[in-house]
Amino acid sequence: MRHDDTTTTEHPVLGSPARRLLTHSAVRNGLAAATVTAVGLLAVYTVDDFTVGSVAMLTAYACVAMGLTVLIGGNGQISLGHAALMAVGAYTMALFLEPRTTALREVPVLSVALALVLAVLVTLCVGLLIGLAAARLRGPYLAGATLSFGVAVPGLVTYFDHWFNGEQGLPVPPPDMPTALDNALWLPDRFVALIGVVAVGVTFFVLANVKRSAVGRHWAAVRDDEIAAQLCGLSIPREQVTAFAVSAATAGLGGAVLALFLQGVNPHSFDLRLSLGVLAAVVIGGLGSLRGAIWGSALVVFLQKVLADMDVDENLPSASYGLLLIVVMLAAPGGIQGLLSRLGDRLPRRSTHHQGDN
Amino acid sequence: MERFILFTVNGLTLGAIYASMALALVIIWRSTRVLNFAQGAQAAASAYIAWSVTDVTGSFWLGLAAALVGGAVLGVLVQQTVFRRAESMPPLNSAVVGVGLLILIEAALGMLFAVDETRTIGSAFSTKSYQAGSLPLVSPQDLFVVGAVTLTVVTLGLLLARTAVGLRMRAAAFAPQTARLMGVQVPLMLSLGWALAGVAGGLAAMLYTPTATELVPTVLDGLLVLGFTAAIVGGLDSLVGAVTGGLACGLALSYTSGYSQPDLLLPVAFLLLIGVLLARPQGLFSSSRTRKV
Amino acid sequence: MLQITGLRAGYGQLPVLHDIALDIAPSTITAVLGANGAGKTTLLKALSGVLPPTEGRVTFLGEDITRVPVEHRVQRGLSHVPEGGGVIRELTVRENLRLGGLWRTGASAVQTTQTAIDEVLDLFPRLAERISFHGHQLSGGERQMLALGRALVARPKLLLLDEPSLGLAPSIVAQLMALLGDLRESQGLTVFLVEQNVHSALGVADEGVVLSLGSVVARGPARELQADVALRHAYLGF
Repeated sequence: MRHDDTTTTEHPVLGSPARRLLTHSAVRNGLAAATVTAVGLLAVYTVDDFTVGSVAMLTAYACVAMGLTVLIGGNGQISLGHAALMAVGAYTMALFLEPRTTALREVPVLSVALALVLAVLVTLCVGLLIGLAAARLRGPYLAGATLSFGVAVPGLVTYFDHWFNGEQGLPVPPPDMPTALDNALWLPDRFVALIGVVAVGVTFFVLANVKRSAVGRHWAAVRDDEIAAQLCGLSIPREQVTAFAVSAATAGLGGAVLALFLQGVNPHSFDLRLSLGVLAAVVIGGLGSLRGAIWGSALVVFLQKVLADMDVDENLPSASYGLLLIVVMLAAPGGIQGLLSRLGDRLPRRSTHHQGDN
Repeated sequence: MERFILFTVNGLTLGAIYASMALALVIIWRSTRVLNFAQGAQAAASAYIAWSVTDVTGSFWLGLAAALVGGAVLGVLVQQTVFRRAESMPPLNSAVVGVGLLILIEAALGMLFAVDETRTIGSAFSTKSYQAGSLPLVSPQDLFVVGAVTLTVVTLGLLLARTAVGLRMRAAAFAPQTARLMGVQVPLMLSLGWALAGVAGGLAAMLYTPTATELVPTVLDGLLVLGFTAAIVGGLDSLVGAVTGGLACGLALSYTSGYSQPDLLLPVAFLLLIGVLLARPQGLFSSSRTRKV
Repeated sequence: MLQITGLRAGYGQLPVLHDIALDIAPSTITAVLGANGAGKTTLLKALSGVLPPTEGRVTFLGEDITRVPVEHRVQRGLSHVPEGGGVIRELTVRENLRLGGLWRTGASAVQTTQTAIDEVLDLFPRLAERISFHGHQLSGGERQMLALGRALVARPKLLLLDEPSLGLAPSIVAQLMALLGDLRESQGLTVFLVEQNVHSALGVADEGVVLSLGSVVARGPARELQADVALRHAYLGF
């Protein structure tokens, strides 16, 4: 993991107010988040109708992956059950929106926004609970417990079928598009992708600031050496529970976006494969790096799409990201973001301003 | 009462199968501190090998033998190609490598064995229960399952505890540096561990697949999760723990699906796991005496 | 018995030993002395193969063993007791002892090892009392006895001992040193002994070697080293 905190020492002209503003991390994270959002919006506006679904999918993955990368890379806790947390967000979304459907079977955008916030909050609470248990566990025991949680949730959903409608799941009505977009002949998918991009931008901004804040440093301290962190006065369980809850919240957001895109939720959309897919995205992107999580999500989502379009064996996408996972872990544990930063270091420094590794 | 007997027998049989998978995971964890998520896929591959052999020869027993041998070979292969480099890494990295291998092997099986054909692995013996009066007690297949797993556990236990090879394996697992000074070929012993784990995994596959509707690459994912649960409940380090954990899981799940609903199987497994871990964060039979921090 | 010429070794890019040359005669006890970081433990590791030398030659009983893997040295009669003893905590005393004879092959292997274990148990009656205890249940002194006993089960010709007195009570250290002297007399054992405890080491040793910053700065009969005031002040701190 790279920690680039030396930005100020390299400045020949420290006096420039503009530069000082740039080094202020909140502003810098804001700019980075804005860049991510802008690139996302550009994609939403330019890609064709067949690809836009993948963009929406990518945004859902990216939300979860960013939270997971902060948990694993930033705090040293593993979770193999994030798909279950996504399911919590998705079902919250469905339960909230369903009764608010208008005659046209579309819901106002404001309700969707509210539902997203609610999904985040509910998942945050569930994450707190799971985090409390998780904070007592280490390494393989934590992996086992989260894995078990991940596969247990679909069973619970099926069991309480009067609430969740069992195997069939619940429908999620599409959002009511603003007239301008409706007039531009946008498909609902494209609008969902738009919402997803905003969600990714917000998640990126929040997590980047958390990582840079005292909280993020506490998480990292716990990850690096629990005993040392404890001797510095940190409460290990508290740091681990908060990290887990924050990570869960983003998983809830991602799950809600996914539900919006799929226009429904059922227990099977949130299985072990999804947990492993997100984990793959995080690892391939580079553990601990937010941008890496986005790269990784893009790779996993588009690999599936591209290979599916090429009419090759349907198992090829899985095979290739399984292989990628192994190769990355053995040969380049820094993942894509690690390779990019190394590449960046090789190039001559044109600007003295070096972006921190988010 | 009749239902209770039925569920208990069923639970013990299932538990034996979980124990077999748990053994595979425990053997590898003990010796290399690798959490082998690929074990589920490796076991599935053993089952496919068995299916192929049975398909050609018509003999279930040749298939079973092939699954066990194939499992051992695959275990060594996987260790030599992938895990030997991951062994020195933090457990998180090697766990991720295992996940990658799980996805890769299952996808590869999907490519090799097209879905246009329905494959099944039959049970070795009849699944019709012997009756005591009107009470159905236990089927020959149940006895075979429990017997095969018991035989494996006892053999493994004796091998590790009583033989020179077992002593070498334990020394190599607990203290590789010291073992080398004593003339133990550590890499060889570790490979032997992977081979034995492969045999246990292959056996689990051959006992579990008959209860599934069809042999597909992901057929053993559920077994992997439950075997993992059993291993963790038992403490990951202990063979006795793996068997206890397996039987506990088997009984809990059998009663759940019998008296309640099959939907609750995995939630109950989760409750069992989290309940045990909250009381003992290192499982029931862990040999680690002190917990870090 | 053991010839070392031009030996260099180190960790990664960091050289620790520079051009070590020594010649150890059979049935002698050589004490290796020096301050912390002088390279004493590294020298032992280079001799036992745990840390393969980067340059130089190690000849044992007339054979070049520089590139022989660690695992194959015990069968040539070379045993290394690492710092702390390396007793395996999860194994019982009996199993730890059996481990010492596992390198033997052939029909009489089990019998020879059993005889060797019995001899060791005669030597350390304490271990016989603790035979079914696990390594982690032993006291520091018992663990050190077990480590030494396990090495003796291999019936080595050359014993490399790293700080056997570490953390032990003075009376036990004295017993241990006396035992080494006995083994030299009775079995013709050659001992290469790394020690912080200069007095007791030189008390039992025939030869002394003083290391400083990875080089041999002095060597000679133990008595002479002990008597050399300037050397003692410069390197041995008393």
